[in-house]
Amino acid sequence: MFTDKIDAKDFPKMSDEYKDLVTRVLAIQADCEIGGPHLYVDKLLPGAPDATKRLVVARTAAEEVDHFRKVMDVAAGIGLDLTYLLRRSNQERAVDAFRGEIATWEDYAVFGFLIDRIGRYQMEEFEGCTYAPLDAICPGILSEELGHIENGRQFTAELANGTQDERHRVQEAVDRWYPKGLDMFGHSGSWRAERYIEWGLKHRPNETAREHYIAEVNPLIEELGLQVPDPEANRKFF
Amino acid sequence: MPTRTIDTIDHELREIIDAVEHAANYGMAHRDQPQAVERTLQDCEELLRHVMDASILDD
Repeated sequence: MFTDKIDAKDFPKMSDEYKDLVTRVLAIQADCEIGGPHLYVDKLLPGAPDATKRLVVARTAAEEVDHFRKVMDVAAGIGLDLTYLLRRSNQERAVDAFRGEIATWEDYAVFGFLIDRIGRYQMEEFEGCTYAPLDAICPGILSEELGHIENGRQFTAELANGTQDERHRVQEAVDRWYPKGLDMFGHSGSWRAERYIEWGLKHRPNETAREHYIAEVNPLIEELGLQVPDPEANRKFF
Repeated sequence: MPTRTIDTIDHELREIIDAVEHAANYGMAHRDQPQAVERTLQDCEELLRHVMDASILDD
């Protein structure tokens, strides 16, 4: 396995495969970072249940935009311009979970609880990776993602402990986002994932990361008194 | 197509991010003043709109 640390100045000397993989992962990561605010700012910044929650939405969106900016800067270091992602429509996003719109508070809450947690998993893959500029931005992004995840967990818990209607609606949101989340890890046995690992750009195969996520999140869902959805229902990738 | 350099966009994104985070913190600290919070939220919406509608890419 490749273990050298590569800086932007060394990047042109790397193999085409390494360059392709770094380029691909930066584009997808940036797309997901800016894809989040595009899902919820329009409806939830004005429409969250109270002013404090609207402020949380604003601050979360700003932090996600900052994550996009950081990945954009890493990409710029190798001559890759990702600013076009700012114009991309939700329907064109690279990952299915970012296509569409979040229009309800329960979807916003569960998105933080389940999907931002996958953002954390993704950044953990890059921690200590061989492309040094990507490794360098991980700690700052991870620490803010932890805040988003905890906000999502708390908001989900409030709804789970709320009225019967709130509890019903938040369970439906869990049912919607859980399969999208599991799909975000990609195909099991992915050839490309194996190449990422070989080049020291990721640590775990897709299926292993997905298993770790399931082992972490299922008990958290149950702790809130909610049902864990069937892990095979409404899935696109296994 | 973008007509601004990545450095310029980076700089303006930083300004927007800082302004929204500052406004959100101010709003949190003044939650007992609904009118001030509402003005703050309007500022946040206006700032973020430049990113959401990609007008930050335009000259």
